[in-house]
Amino acid sequence: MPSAVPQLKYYQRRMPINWWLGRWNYTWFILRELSSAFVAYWVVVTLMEIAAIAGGAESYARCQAWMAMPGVMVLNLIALIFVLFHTLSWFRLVPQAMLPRLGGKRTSTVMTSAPMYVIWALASVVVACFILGVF
Amino acid sequence: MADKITLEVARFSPERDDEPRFDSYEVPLHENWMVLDALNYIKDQLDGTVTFRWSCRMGICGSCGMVVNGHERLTCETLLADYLPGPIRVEPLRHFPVVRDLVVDISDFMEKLERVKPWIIREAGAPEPEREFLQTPEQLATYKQYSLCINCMLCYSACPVYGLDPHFIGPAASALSLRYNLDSRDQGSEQRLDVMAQHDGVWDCTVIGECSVVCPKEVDPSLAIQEYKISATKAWFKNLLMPWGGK
Repeated sequence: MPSAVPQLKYYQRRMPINWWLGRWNYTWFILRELSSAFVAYWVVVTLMEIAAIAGGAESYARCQAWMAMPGVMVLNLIALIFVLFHTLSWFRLVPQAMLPRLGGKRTSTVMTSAPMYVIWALASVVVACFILGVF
Repeated sequence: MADKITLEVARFSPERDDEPRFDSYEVPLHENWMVLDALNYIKDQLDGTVTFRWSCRMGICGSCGMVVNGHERLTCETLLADYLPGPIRVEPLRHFPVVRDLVVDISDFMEKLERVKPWIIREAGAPEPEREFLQTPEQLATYKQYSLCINCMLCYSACPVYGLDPHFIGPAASALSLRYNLDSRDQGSEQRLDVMAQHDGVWDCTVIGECSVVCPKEVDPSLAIQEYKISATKAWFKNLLMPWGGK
């Protein structure tokens, strides 16, 4: 027996391909995901430098010459910007992902974020001192 | 202040249209009128065929969620005057099938909500309590934020993950699932974990956070999902490392 209720026709919208340009939060998310590729590149370059150092003075000089090429310097600058963005975006994300409880109450966003920035600053100072030969 | 403002209302008639169009209506601009008041004026005075959901007019029922000038809003809490000089574009919630005009089909959300069992579960065979369950203010505080969800579905409309993958359990269902897990009276967290720990459960979420931005009740479903991920991970490790799954 045919149903007495007519079949409804719905309109199903599709996500446009540029959906991530619609809001700042969406764009931020896509940039954050994209920055992961530059983090991976940064790790590869660091491993290459370590391997060059292990390979002796000549190997390290070749690596330095490659790193001094204009194209590589531009790429490294872009990678640096994205790696910094990646770090800051994840620091920004932590209070959105976890707000630990202290004494039964949630800690504030500042309480959750501040230790990460402090540790980052301290670690940067230690690395800078090491590079500049202070230690 | 201007005395009129234009609303561009999305219209879709399943009998006639293949896709929505926009109809413009000029409505009086009263200082305290909300977008919902303007829609009701249109329905009563200008065009009785305009279709939309509403009920309480005080931000409680969650029925009048729509997209206003590109952002998810409860129209009963959205002042017309905030959009001067206009026009104000009113559309149905995103990602849900449009039934007619501003009305969307919410059956997918209802199915997901039921799947996470948003009610207090007691263990089978547990004795019936002789009196009501007592709860301290601290125990209440652990879940109260998530209990404020009014099922308005603004978070689903703002979530691109749900738009791209309709199987995703979604923000509100996750927040309500966690709400009952955190309730000291509840014993059903393992049953809910079976649903929430799946790939299309909380793990589909990529922490964009727009669900928490648009939430009119500050439930923060994004935080709920991330908290769920932590408890799901703990449960997985406990199951893996402890004899007999720590039971």
